Amino acid sequence: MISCQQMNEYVKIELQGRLDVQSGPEIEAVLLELLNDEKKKLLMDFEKVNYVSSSGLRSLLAILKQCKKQSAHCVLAALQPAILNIFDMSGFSSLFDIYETVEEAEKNLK
Amino acid sequence: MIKYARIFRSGMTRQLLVWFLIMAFTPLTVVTFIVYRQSERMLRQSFIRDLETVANRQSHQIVTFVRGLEKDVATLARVPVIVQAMQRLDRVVMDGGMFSNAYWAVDRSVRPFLSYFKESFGYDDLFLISIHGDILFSVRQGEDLGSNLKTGIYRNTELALVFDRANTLMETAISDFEFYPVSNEPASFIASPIIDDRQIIGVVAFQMNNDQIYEIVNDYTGLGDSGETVVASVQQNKAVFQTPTRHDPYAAFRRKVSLNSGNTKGIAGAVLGRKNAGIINDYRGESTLAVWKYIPDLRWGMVTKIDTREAFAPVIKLRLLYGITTVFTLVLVFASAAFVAGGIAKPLRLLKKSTHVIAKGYFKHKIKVSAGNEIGDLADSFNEMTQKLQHSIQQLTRTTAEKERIESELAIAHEIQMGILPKAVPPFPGRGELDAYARLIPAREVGGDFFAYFFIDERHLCFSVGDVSGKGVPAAILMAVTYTLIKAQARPGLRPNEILNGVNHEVCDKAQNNMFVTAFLGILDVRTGRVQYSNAGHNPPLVLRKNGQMPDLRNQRTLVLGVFKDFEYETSTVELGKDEGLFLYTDGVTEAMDPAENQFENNGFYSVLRQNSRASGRLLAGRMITAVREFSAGVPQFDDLTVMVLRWLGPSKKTYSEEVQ
Repeated sequence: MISCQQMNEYVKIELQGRLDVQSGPEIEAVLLELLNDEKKKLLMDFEKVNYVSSSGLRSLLAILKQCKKQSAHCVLAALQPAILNIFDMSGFSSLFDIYETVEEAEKNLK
Repeated sequence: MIKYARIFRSGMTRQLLVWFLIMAFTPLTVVTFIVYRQSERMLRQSFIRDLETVANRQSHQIVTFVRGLEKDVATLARVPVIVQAMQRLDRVVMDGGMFSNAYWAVDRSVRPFLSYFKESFGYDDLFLISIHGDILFSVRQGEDLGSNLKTGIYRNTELALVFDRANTLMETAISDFEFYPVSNEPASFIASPIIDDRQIIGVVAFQMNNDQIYEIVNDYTGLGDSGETVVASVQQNKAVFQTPTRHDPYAAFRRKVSLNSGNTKGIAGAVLGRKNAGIINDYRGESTLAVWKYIPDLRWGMVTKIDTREAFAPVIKLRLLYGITTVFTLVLVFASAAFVAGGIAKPLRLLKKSTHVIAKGYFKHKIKVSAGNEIGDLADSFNEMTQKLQHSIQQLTRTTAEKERIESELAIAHEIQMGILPKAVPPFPGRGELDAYARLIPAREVGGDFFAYFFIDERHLCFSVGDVSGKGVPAAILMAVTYTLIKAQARPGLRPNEILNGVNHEVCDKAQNNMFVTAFLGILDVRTGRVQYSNAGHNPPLVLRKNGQMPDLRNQRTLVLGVFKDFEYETSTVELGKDEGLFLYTDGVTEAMDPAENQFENNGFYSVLRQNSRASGRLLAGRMITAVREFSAGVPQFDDLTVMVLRWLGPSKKTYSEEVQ
């Protein structure tokens, strides 16, 4: 489940449920399309995400690489503790800008 | 013929036949019926007209004839010769009686004239009768001569009747035809009073037979082969035929029709004064078309008729024509139904037969139907379908073969992959310092998990557990690559982070499509129980402490392999006490799901570890796997599942002794 919302200065992407081998490619496609539309500021709201598999991580890695290529800025917000643990374990928390709340992430979007 | 019989057995042919018959016979029957009725009516009208013409002509002739007679007689009664003859005869009979010399003298003197008169008018006889009824003169001089019509034996004859009328009513009277005993044949009489000085002195009467009337009615002009005219008069409540008829020469006065039956048609109606036309059964019992009328002058009924068989011969011919047409149409209908059905049913039967052949799997079979209609089209599309079906089946066969090939390749890949992994149980016989056990359960034929343990040198055991993101063949290939890289990079003297740095470098070159690998790599010093480890984004293994605690093994810095080529991994150290161990696993264990999508990590993972913390590696691993399987029963698992238990049993005496030496 994914929904996008154009805010004042950025696009807010709200994710929901499981981020795995099924939903991963879908999210990847949506984000890549946004990047192709020259959207430079992306905020991924993880509040309603309850599971991220290694395939999900792979999709996020693909998005991150594309962001760097197009010098776009992508931040993650409101990760649940279990999800944050996965990010910590895999070292992905050092790759992404992760914020505790959406507001905080908003402030740090450059 | 056999062929046609078969065609007519088919349901379609029968249906066609019924429709054809309906189509052909409905208009045929309707038209024939209408024409028949119309013709019949027209013929009837035309014949009735003709019959009426004939009847009018004949009745007119009869009336004219009879009136002529009456006039003749009335005229004759006034001729002086007759008057004088009557007076003279009356006188001589009064004076000397009948048959006296004087009578014969008068007879001789009047006879030539009266004879001539009788002959010239064609009568049978001529009578002179006194007002008292005595027959005083007869040309033929029959037995009636001299008898009295009022008192004698002939008082009941028609002659007596007309005499009476003429004598009393003083007018000319005509009788019916009736058998007259004197002349021994049917006869009619006409009588007229002889007047002298306004006084009746006698009656003159003529006898005539029915020959002349017969001549009139015997004229069949306009009556075809069976037509005739019948005339009859009423006698004793019966209609009595007055003349011979065309079909019965002895009909006169012999044939009689009773009037009691209430029949008002034909001759019975005619004698009762009715006038009409219609179809009646005549005296022969034959159906006839007839007109009938009454002739008042003679008080006769007259019927002019013709046999319906003759009158309606044209419509009877029409009936025959209809019969012939029916037979012809039937033949035509059967033939065309057979032809049309043959055109439809035959290709259909062929089509049916062909489909059976195709249904049996002979896809090369072509339907040879060349009907230039929808059936032909159907056959064409059928052929096309068969061809496509054949093509599809060929493709399906190819695909199936391909799939089987790939499956067998995958099975081989699985064999190879499993072959890479250490297999020996126990893995290190003769090594008393440690109890090592590992098991990998692939979710599919080939997966992304791997594990490794091997001695780098005499006292250092390198061990590793890893997981390639993704599934299937690409994951398996990367797994094999990573495994090989680890074995290649793990050289004596290198720290775990140095090994992982090298592996990461290579994996970054090899990994495609953002694939990455999580891996934990440790080096155990079997003499001291010290473990140096480096974690590349892998689930942190747990330390199984004697006191029941289970701390996990993380580094400050960590990242999965295959993302940043120049990432610097970190080495940390943990000390194991005697009989303390490590539990390594992949996320297939902790993230196994039950049907309610709960993860195993929070639902039994730690309790299995706690309950079996002192068990052998093999037992612990087995129980963990059993617990996962029970937990996720009924839910297909998509992740490989790897468990490794490594327990340090303390320094080996053998190694000490070696060191002592």
